Amino acid sequence: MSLHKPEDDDQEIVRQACSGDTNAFEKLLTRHKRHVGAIAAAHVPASQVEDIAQEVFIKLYLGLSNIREKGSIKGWLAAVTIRTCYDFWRKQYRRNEIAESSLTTDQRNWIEQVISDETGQRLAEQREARQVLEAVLQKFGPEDRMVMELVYFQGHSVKETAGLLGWSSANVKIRTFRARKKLKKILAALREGINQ
Amino acid sequence: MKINNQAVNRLLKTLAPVYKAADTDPGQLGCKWQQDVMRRIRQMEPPQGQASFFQAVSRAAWKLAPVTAVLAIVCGVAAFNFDVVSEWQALDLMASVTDTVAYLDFLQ
Repeated sequence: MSLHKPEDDDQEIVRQACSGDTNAFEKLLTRHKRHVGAIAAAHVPASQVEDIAQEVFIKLYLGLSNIREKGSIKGWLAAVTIRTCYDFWRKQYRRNEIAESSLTTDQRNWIEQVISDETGQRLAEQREARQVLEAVLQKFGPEDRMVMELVYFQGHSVKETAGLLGWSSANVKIRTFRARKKLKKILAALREGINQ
Repeated sequence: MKINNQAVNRLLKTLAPVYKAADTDPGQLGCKWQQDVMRRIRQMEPPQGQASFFQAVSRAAWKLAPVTAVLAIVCGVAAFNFDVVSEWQALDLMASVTDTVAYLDFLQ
């Protein structure tokens, strides 16, 4: 049985790319573009995926010598993609380009049904679920948004999230706690709107 | 009515599969995108390798050169204006002068 790992191939390609072989770098790009694209698509709007992925691969090219020493390209790419997505949201919030969303009556009723303990599976399949998800995420700042997505929706541990975002575990814990608190506030405000 | 932790958990639990089910297919990263990225990469300089110790020191020295020059000029101007008497000059004078009162006057 061969003990040859794809990471070994990556290391060889990185070595070639480091010496200025752009064709070798193209091999890396072809091999990892789906991985980077899938991560980006999970965190930013579809229209931004190409730009984010391009930025990530340019960072990869510029940081090749560091990766040569550190090892796993896949892990490095995942972390850099997440941080590039986070930077994207920071810029969006700084420019105030986040659309202020107000929920429709159907969406508010959907939330009400979820909160009042109805079978989640059926509700998750409804059209309103996606719209509510978007609306709720828009109400968070960039930090809370990334933490919500990584910890609650993608199921990463605090340690993994800290590694991906380049934060300390304590910071992730605090952010998670604050995001949860904010979600509670959002829900309370929505409920007040319904009851009024 | 107050929102409790259970309600938040329920909402998060319901939204998690919705989030995962969203379209995350990076199908748009096709050949044209790859060609564009590679064109940009080819226009860039080859990635820099890890700098040796001497290269790093020489780079740092050049970076610090303007600050060092400014500091030298400031110190020179200060020394000229304040008419500083160096320690060895003072000691030399003390050794040669017998009149201590005159010596102290000179120092002041």
